[in-house]
Amino acid sequence: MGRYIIKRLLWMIPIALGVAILVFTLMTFTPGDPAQTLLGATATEEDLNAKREELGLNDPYFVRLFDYLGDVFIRFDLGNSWITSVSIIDTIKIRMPRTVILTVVTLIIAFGLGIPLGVLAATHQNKWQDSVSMVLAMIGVAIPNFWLALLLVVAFSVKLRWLPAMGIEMGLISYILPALSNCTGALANCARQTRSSMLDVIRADYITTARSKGVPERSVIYKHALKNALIPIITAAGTAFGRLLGGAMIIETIFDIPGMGTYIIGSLNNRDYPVVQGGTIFLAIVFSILMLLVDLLYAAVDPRIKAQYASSKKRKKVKANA
Amino acid sequence: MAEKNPNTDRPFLDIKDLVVEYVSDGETVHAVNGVSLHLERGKTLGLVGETGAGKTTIAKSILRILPDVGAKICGGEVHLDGENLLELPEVEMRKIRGNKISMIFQDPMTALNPVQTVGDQIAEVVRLHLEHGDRTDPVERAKEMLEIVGIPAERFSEYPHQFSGGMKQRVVIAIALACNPDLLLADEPTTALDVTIQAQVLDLIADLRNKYNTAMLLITHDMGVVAQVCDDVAVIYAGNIVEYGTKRQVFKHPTHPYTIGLFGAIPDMNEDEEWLHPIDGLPPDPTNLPQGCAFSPRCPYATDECRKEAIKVYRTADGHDCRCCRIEAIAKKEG
Amino acid sequence: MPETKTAPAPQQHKAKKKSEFMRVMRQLSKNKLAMIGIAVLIIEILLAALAPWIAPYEYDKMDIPNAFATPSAEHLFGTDDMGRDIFSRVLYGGRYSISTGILAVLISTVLGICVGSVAGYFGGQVDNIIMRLLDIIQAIPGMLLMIVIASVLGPGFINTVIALSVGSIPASARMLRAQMLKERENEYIEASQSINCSKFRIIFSHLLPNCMSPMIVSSTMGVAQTITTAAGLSFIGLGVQPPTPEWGAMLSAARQFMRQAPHLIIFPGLAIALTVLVLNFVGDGLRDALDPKLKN
Repeated sequence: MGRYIIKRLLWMIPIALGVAILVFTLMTFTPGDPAQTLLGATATEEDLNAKREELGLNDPYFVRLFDYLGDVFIRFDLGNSWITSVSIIDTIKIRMPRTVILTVVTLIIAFGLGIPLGVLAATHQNKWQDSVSMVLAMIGVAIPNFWLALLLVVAFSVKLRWLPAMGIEMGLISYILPALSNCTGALANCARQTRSSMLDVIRADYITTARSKGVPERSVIYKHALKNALIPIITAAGTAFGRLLGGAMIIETIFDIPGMGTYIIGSLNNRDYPVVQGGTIFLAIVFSILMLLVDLLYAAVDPRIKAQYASSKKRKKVKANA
Repeated sequence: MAEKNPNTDRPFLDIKDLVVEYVSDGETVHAVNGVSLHLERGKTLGLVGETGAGKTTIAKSILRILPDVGAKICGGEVHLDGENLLELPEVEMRKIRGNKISMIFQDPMTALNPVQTVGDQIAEVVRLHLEHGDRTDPVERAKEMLEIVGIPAERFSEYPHQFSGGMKQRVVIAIALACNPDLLLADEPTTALDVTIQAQVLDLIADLRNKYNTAMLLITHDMGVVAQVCDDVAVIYAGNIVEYGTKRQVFKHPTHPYTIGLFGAIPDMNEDEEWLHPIDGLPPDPTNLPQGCAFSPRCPYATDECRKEAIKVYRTADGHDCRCCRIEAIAKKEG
Repeated sequence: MPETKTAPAPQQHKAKKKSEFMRVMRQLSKNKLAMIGIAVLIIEILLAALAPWIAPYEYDKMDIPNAFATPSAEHLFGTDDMGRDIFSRVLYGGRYSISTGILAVLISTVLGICVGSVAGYFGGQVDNIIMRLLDIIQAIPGMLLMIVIASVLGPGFINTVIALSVGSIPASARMLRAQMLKERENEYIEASQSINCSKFRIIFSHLLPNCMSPMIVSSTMGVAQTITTAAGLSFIGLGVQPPTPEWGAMLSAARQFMRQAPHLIIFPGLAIALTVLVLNFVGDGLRDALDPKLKN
């Protein structure tokens, strides 16, 4: 088990390296001159040249690439913003927690409501509870999060004046609307996944065994059935993480949350390449760690998967099938 | 116990006219059509019949664990120790399940929860049925049960996937017997096992039953198992009991043409037979049972009378029941 | 011997294909939601395609004195800040949004099939290298990747389509590969190899057709997903730019007026939601029809 984790962590190094090369290359070949953008239209040719020299833009691509990779992977320095000259790592330290809060609150809402909704639908298959839940889920998948965000702002901030429309001055309360607008897709997917996975499990023999033992129906559903139905739900959670992080990018711009999304999108508009590169690499690493956690969660839930992780021979087979 | 029983003349388990239906896709499956059975403490009743005859449904109806969707007990009574189980509130029924009545399932590979340790699964049933003030430690009891069924107690914390099929069935038996039930419903407990393991498991069940004087309803399609274990036998066909008597009566004098057919399908080791004699035809479609005797389409003795109306049960002097109106004709021919 | 055995196969295959297609259609026609979905979708596509002829106004015809008009008989969905008719703009917007979704999914599916089938069929080192490259792309959250690519390419319809398709290639490639690995285990592949079928032929005439059902389903769902993402990109100013009447771009432009004129944000959003909803109906229906086992 420990060896498995270490192996997976080591795998992240080439992945992060690949992401760094990919984003750096994309940025390098972006049309437009960053020096021009930085100094404005009035800058003289000399100033521009000096700026280019300062930013290292005059060096050949490979020299700059290796310099950058050296900075990131040997000195663990993502560099400074071209515009504000502030250290990117320091900025991430301040901004990342906000994105994390948004994502985690969203995830809690999505799975806190999605799982019970899916269970309700499964235990009342083909009854009205089922239909209502699944129609809600269909609508939840269909509603674009940025549109819902606008509607919620109009309703709860402009008309009712209950919740703030932007900023994070009010602490956790400020995250309610953003999280609500970002959660629908994940919630709906979770509910649908829970339903279908529960329907499979509920018919299993061991559920009848549990009933025959006199286990109360609530425990049959939530203790015996749900735990067995969790694997596909955890997979859904893994996918949801990625989507929510992505969705958070747009939601942050709508609600003016100074998190990673506004940071990266703002820097894209300003041609502040080091920030885009650093931010993306950082998010990719965070994302990979989350995926590892999801895989470990599988093992925690299902002893059969744990046994597979422990014996490397079997794991290869599983990987090939994945 | 018998003193507490208000109807002392009533058998320990007494099923009267049980009717169970399943509804799926608008079609009604007549799974059990008026079955009556009785069983005394310490005795074993074998319920014999083909797959789909309604045997498992009867057992699940006793425990009231039929699937929620579509299954319905439409009528009848199930008395255990004088109480009608079908009228008990769910809370009371839950106290009986796994405690007074417990069940062993057909397929040990799927009967155990794959994400719970086997020990926990045994301890759970003990914990659920602890009486107030009872100081039994569920974990200790579970370990004890493991040892009783022949599994070292150290394997308490292992998961089902670490056990073989026979071992899993032992765990299932341990769960079923952990609370010393009065009635054991064994649904084809050995069908999924290798022949050598079958014998071991049957012996194990027999030992434990003798110790606690447990009554057992044994569901099987294996006449050999019946011969080995049962006191009484009920032969069931298309949700109806067609023949009912002591093991001796049924084995020595099979009366119903279906039972006769069943014995014909068993190879006789003493005679050198080229072919087995299977019963012609297939069991009837339970959504569309034939009029009159359900067996009549396959029965070599059937007459028009058989296809007209429901057949009464004929009882011989020594209490051997048979649901057939052609008994005498058959007796002559088979004589 | 092998020749005589395989000779009648093509016809059989065709016959099976046809009846399979009919079976799926029959299944699908029984599914009410899917039929509603297909009907609404056809209407939407017709409306979008015929927009120049049926739209009551030109999408860019301004009428400043009549700005921010609420919905009425004259302007079904009201008018925007420039007095442009929102109904007409939504109709025109469908052309961009729906075609973006379909085009991007088409491109990413085709490329995904190429990448995935190469990886899935050859296995070994080829598979390993391709999968690790996909790992790298997928380590970046999808939306972020598309945002970065869209920003690098700059705004515009074609660039948006490219950004969206590049971002979705890994998922479809991975899916096809998984399907192929499963399919490759079947004995008929061994049989084809034994009669010296070329790898190319095995992939295209044996493996791919058998891997198609899940791809069709996920592509239908993918179009829905992509329409939302495309609107999201234009919403943050990266995709199709105003005054082009793309649904996301309309929302983006309407944002600053949402306090005074909420109807500006309602209709373009409804159009997106409705399109995505019916596409999901169709996708669900297709999944159930193609694989009855999956249906609960």
